[in-house]
Amino acid sequence: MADYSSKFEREDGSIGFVASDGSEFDTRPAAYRHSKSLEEAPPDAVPDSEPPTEPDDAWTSFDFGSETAPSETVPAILKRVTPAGDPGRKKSKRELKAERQTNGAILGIVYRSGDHLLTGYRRMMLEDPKAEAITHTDEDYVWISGVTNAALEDNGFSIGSAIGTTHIALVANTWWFGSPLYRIHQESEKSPFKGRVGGTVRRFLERLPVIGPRLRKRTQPNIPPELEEPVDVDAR
Amino acid sequence: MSMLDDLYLPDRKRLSSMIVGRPGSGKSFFLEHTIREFMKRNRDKNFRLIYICPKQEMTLYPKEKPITPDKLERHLRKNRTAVVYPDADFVEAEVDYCIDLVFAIQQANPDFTCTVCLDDAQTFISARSSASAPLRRLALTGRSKGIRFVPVSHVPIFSKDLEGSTSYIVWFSIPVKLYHRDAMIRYGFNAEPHIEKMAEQPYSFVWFDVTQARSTLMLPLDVKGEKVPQAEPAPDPQ
Repeated sequence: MADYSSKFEREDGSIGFVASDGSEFDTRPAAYRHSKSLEEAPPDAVPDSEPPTEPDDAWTSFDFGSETAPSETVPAILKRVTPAGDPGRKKSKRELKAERQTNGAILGIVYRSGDHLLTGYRRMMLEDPKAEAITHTDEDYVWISGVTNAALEDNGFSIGSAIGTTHIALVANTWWFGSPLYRIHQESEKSPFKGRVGGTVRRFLERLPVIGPRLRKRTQPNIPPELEEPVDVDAR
Repeated sequence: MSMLDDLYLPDRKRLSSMIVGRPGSGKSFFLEHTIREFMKRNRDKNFRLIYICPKQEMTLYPKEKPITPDKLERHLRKNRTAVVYPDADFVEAEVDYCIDLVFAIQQANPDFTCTVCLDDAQTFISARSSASAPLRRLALTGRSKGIRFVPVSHVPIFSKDLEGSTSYIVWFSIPVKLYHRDAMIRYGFNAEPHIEKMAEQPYSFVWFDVTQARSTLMLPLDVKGEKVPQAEPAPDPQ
């Protein structure tokens, strides 16, 4: 038979009593009552330290794992562009903050595009299509956008106020469809203006007023003007 | 880590996975869907999956044409999966050729990894006859090269070449008790306690982890409303 209550001395000098299961109490009756309750309780009521195990014949579903991350992402800088509120109304602090964020995001896009154009210019001038691309760190883009935005604000101009929902939707949709299309053509190394479908697109674009003549000029062979003039045989 | 990875991923750690079950037990459906899902989730551009079907009856994607072994190398350059139909008269030689080719590709491209699913594997590997050298090479040394072997068969394959190199067994319904006893002796897998439950649920199966000697009763695959995907071309390595 286990000892219902054993006296012991704690480290701080106080007296305590241990029940049969090892739990400590300040008084002997408390330890005794606890020991007796353990003895009287049905065996299945005794708390078990081990978690209950599942029966072996439980059905389980096949674990396919998580889906892969989406292949296309919209840059965070584009998501920060939000339309400005009513220009006639005084803006709250929150709206001013959002406007500043929009200005920074638009300027960030402008500077990134600038780097892209500079890269093209560099490759063209060096005649090296694989020349190193011109890039800056994110901090640099934030810095240059902040500097420009501060100057624009001092002059009373806000880019965020100048653009509306249509402009934002236009840019967002251009990115949405343009980005994967650009990557597809890069990966496939095929021109979007060649082939059966691409040729139709090109022919359509060639009929447009502004870009049409430029596209036609590209396809036509570069013949010097002196060769194009008719030669007068009788004059010889 | 999902069960798909446990089944097919050649991570140079896991050993072979064996898929067994009598005809009509749901093996083909299971294979087709798990391979598609695995390929959808696996974005490794250096990974290829080859499914060799000696019976010449199965495809992984509706529009994917099966190929003959001589076109395998060229096919793998632009496709992530290949379904190979070997010639019925030279099945063993052509399967050996495919395996040798995979090892040769791996030797030339150290980042290349591959999973080779071999249907009707019991015709190539059995306890009574020795497997060919390429098959033994695949089963025994494939892991270290990133080439994983997934034999699929109607009956469990009992061969010394495989018994020590199997990580998982996917056990569909096999009512023959003789195989249950042998599976217990060879792999430590006891199918008996699951037979009744599996009979209640058609196309269910048991997932057996050989390393941990743990079996799990699995419900049939739930693929309701799944869109049939198309085979993906291999990404440009550059």
